[in-house]
Amino acid sequence: MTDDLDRLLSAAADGELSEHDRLHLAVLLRDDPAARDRYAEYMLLDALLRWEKPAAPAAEPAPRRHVLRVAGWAVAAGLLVGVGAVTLLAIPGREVLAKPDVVDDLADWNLAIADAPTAADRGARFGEQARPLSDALARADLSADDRRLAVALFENARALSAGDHPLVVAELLDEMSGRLLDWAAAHPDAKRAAAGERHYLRFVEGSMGHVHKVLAGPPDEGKKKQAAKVAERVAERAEARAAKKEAARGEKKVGK
Amino acid sequence: MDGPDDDAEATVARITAAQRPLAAYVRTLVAPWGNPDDVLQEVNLVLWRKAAEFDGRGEFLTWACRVAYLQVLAHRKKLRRDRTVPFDDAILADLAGPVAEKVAEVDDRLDALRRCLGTLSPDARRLVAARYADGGSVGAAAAEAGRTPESVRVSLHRIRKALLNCVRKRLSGGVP
Repeated sequence: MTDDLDRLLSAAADGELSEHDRLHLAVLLRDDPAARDRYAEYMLLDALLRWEKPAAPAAEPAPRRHVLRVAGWAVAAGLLVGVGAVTLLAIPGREVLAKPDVVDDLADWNLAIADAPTAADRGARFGEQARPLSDALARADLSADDRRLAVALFENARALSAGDHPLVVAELLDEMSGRLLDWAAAHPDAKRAAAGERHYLRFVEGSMGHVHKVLAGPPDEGKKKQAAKVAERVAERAEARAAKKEAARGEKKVGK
Repeated sequence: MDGPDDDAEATVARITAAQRPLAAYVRTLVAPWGNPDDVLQEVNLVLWRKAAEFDGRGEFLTWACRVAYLQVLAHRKKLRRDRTVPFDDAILADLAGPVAEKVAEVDDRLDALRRCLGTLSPDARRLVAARYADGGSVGAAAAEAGRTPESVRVSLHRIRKALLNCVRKRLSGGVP
């Protein structure tokens, strides 16, 4: 890398600044307008890449560690008849496999279905992954709370695949964001709780994106009013979350 | 006559339309020292509560960036209770104006970026995809590429610089 600022910009974008790096970066930015401009341009590019989430080249897709794209592309939707909550709630037998990220996969799947451009695509995305994910869920070694959430995510995916209007998608994502937040708040494992919070934020983003679609879409006063209500619920939940975080900070300080 | 529901709709429409530039604005100011996701949520709450104060004159985004800037300062104040935050008010003040101007043209930048991504080699595209996927990191991108994190760090920086040059050229009309 050509200079200190280059190294610091790279570390800042990748979330890898040390305490010393932060101080160093602050000194460079305080004294040098050109450094501030380079910083602003670089971090803005990083922000846009985060927003865009560029796809790997289509001809040779990158391998993913998740089960989502590993198998089952050819499973026809017809095979899914009978795969439901009863199967998913079954107590795992001796072939139990530890699969802590099945909840993550289910959350990704929900969002992929919600993002599909047409109702037919939503159905196809559901059909492609329903069988492998239901199998993974049945085998996964999950706590009762994790399993309940996973089943809810599976059923939500099914509902999303049948959603025929952005408002329906917005409402389904909003409702699930609330469940994810509750799950994260009660989870004993800090890493899984953090994952739940991340999923919550992504579901909120998805829900608000569909609210915007309704508002920018054809004139339909009833649906637009309902979309505004969804946004209101999102805001209320976020406000409650912020208040809880603040209270927790207060308790932590008192405990010190 | 417009009722409360109409106002709510207009507010939601404005706030949702501003999400991309606001996210970029907050991340650029906060990422090295704080939590941009938390700040963006707080910004949205404040925008929602104070929407009635927007008088309709000027750009909503300009007003929203001012609101966001105050939330960035509040976030810094909160963090300072527990630790040192080297990004002080003076640095943030110097950054805030230029960053707000840049995010106002974020749609043009994103359009240019999409075109520039198309000029990358397949390996570079794969690296960027792995780094910026949900939950992605330098470590995850390195594992996927079968390379060391340090070499991936260097590659990603080179790719970002190349993208930045390409975006600048496109924005200045240097590339058709």
